[in-house]
Amino acid sequence: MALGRDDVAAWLRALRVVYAENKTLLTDLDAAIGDADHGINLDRGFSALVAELDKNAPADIRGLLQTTAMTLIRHVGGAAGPLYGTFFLRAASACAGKQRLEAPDVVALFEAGLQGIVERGKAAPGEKTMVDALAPAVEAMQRSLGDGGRLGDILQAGAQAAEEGMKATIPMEARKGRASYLGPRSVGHQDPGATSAWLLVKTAAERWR
Amino acid sequence: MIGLVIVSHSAKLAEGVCELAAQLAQGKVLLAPAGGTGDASNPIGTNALLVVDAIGSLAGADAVLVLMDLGSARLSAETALEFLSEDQRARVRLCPGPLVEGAVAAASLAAAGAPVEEILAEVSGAAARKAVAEPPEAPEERTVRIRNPLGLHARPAAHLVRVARGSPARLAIENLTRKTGPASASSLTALLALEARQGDELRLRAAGAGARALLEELARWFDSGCGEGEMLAPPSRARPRREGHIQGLAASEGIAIGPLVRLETAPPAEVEPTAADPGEELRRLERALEEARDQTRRLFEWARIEAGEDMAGIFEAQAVFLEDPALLEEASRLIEVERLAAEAAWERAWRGASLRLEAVADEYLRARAQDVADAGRRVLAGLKGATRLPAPERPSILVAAELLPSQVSELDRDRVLGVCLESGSPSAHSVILARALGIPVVAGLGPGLAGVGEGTLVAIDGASGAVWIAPDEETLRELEGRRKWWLARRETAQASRLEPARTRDGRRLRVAANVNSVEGAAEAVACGAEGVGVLRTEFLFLDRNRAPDEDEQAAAYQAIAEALEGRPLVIRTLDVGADKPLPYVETGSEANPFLGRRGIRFSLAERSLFRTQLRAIARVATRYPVEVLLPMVSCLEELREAKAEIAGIERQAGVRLKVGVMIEVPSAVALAPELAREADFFSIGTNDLVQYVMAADRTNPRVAALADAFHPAVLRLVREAVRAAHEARLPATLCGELAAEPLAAPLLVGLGIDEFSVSAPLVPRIKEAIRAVDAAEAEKLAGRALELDSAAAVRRLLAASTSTAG
Repeated sequence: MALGRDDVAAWLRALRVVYAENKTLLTDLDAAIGDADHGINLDRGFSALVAELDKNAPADIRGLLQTTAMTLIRHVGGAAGPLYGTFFLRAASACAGKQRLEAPDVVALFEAGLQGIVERGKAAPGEKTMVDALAPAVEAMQRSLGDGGRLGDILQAGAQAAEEGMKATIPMEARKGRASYLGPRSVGHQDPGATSAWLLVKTAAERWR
Repeated sequence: MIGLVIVSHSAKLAEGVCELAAQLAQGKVLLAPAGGTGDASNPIGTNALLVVDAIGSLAGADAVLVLMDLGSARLSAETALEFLSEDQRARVRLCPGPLVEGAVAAASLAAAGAPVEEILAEVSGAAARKAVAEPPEAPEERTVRIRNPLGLHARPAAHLVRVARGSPARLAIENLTRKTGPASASSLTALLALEARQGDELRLRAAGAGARALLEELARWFDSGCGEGEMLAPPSRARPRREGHIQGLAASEGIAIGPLVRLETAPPAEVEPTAADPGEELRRLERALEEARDQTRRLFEWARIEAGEDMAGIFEAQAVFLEDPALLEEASRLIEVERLAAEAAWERAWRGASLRLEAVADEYLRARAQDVADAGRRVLAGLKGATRLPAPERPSILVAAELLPSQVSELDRDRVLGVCLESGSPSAHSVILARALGIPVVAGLGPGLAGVGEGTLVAIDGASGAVWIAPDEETLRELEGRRKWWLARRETAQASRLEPARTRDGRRLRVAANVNSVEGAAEAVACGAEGVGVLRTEFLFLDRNRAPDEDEQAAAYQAIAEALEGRPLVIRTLDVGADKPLPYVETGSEANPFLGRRGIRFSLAERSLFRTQLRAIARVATRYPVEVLLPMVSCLEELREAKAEIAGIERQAGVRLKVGVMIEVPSAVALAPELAREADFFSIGTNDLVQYVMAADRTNPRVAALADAFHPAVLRLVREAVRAAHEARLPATLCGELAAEPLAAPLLVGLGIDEFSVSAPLVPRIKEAIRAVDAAEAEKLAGRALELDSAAAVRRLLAASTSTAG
């Protein structure tokens, strides 16, 4: 199965619902080790995105992802704005000229997005960040693709790896961002960024079965 | 022309920085702010598109430097680059470095016509990191040594740059001791990156016209201690000469040398014991009380500013004493019924009350005998028209039988270099205040100075308790060296207060502050505290007729958390008992409140009060790194019961709170391994622990000497508690006056304490004391201390191994 423009739009709109539902969870996780605004910021960003799509929806996949990037950059105040903004910006470039996304294209979308986040945030795996969920997710997707998996299986593998990666952030000591102020006190808390990154992959897996 | 873009989370800050930079830019630099999100409902943050706009608005600039404040501002600025055309991007440089200083430096350098690469290097500190200068060809060479105690810090480095730039010769400097450099002498940051400290050897190499003259000039300047005065060699580890000195108790570190001046307390003026007009006497007493209360308020403010709010609590207790209804009633009765004059009535009522108060438990209200005397004296002084302490005519060493806390405030610190006390202990409130103010004190000298004439030169070392009477030339020279060294160390401590504290062998310890108010939190941050180790919440509950509700408490905790800017905040739940009655809670009376229903026992009995406080804490914990600390836990049941309450509130609020236990009663030490399994951290409160362990009330002068936290009995329990914490992988904090004694720092590091929590103004000195410790050596030292047989022996051991100077 290949994805069309409407499937991508449906994913983005579903993310708005998912982040609204998990606003409190994300904000609480952030409260423990950050500044308690991650859920609020993502909720605001994706609400603004849906309002934008309602007003003025781009006709192609690249345009959709680009609009997502711009809206998040504009409306998500904290570090998540530029980070997820860059994710979608690079994802948009990866989809340039494509009307339909086959399985390898979807994996390439996530690869490019992850690459953007790594370059922007300069975080390595193990530093208690989004990368800890996204990097294993992308690796799992690449493996599954290599094994000839269907798109649904590929995304399922990605979501599962993201979830494991997210949970693995609990015993980690934060080395990036505001949570790093807490040093050893950040141990024992799940990273909010890794959690929102897991939701990003998980929602794709659910939407694009 | 060069353009600057200022990216900040706050639109106002970005504009303010532009305004500041514009002053230095002299119209020769273009400036554009890119602050805030541009979203009015959520203004704080950054927005890459605003950065793009700001860069676009500087189309007239040949090069654009972007300066940023916090981490995510950099992310936004980098994201902005993706939206620029190739052309634009080629002109833009992101400039890491401090926002305000960077903007000011960049504006002034740009206005002076410096090329963009040089500005970037200077502002970002890249010059410092690179720190490599081309060694000039065929150079003249000279080796010099850093002699001033603060090393090549910003001021002398700036001088060096000016001299180097003023010469046609090219100059590079290398730090041979630390193997840093060579640095070009025309770059301030590169010079600072040499990390040249006292004693380091530097190689200066210059070439070109005037090279030799330049080197000669600089060699002289280095020899003069970089223009900061003569050489202050670190004193040898050897003890100063023993002859001619008498030994007291080490009370407040520091060396002072000066002529001896005695504090004469004038004999009380004789007054007629009875008076004819009781109405007039009552009015006189009322006026004197009012005046004394005013003075106490001023003393509180003074102590808060000078010594931190922890210390100011001393005067808070005195204010409570001056409001004591039983006392005031008794004084009035004596005037009206017994027809006594105001002075006589007050004196009798006050002595009676001080006897009653000695029977009361907690130190907060019980105020030490000394404090009651202090407050009572203030009223009497008002009645009799007594005056302040006379200031010595020249800088001196003051000798007194004892000093009251308010008298410390009257010491003229330019004239009183140090204090010798005949009685008095290192834990007296006046001594604690003197310590916070940095006045050297030796206590408990007895009659040792009785025969010494006024004006005799004396020298004191508050860290070892030694006093030299008329020291000979050689001793004097050595002590003068030590005094300079001590003063320089104090300055270094202040200068590096925001840096973390690491022992010489690299163990990182945290130093937090004890805080009792919103203002205290901001002060703590300014003093370099890495968070609040204990927030005493009593300030919200005392002196009012109704309990503070959840909103009021949450607002106070939030304001404090906010002031800490992301640093951890440990909130201790209400710690009151029958001795600190709350008007809105029926506490009943207890024969012995010190052993009564206080701390967590009180909270568990007054459940609704406890829940309200926990809910307020939980609310703030949803947004800030907040932890809960339970006072006076003496058994597991108390912890479990409190945790059950907390669990309910965590569920409602949707947060997880870390719960710590105060280790301040002996049973908590005995149960430490079990408590550690169920708690998230320990906070060892030595002030109460020492009294319970030694069964000695430190406000009772007859046994106060026993209640010494340096006693090996207490230290062994501290070790047990720390061990239990570490076995359960929990951190152990030490709060209490022991943590605030620089003398104790190696001991506490050796016992394994992870975090110190002290009065805010002491943070710099405690950090500096930790930096002087070698953790491995400290462990051996602590082991030895625990085997000694008295507190005095422990103090002697510590004084011998860490004199003020070393």
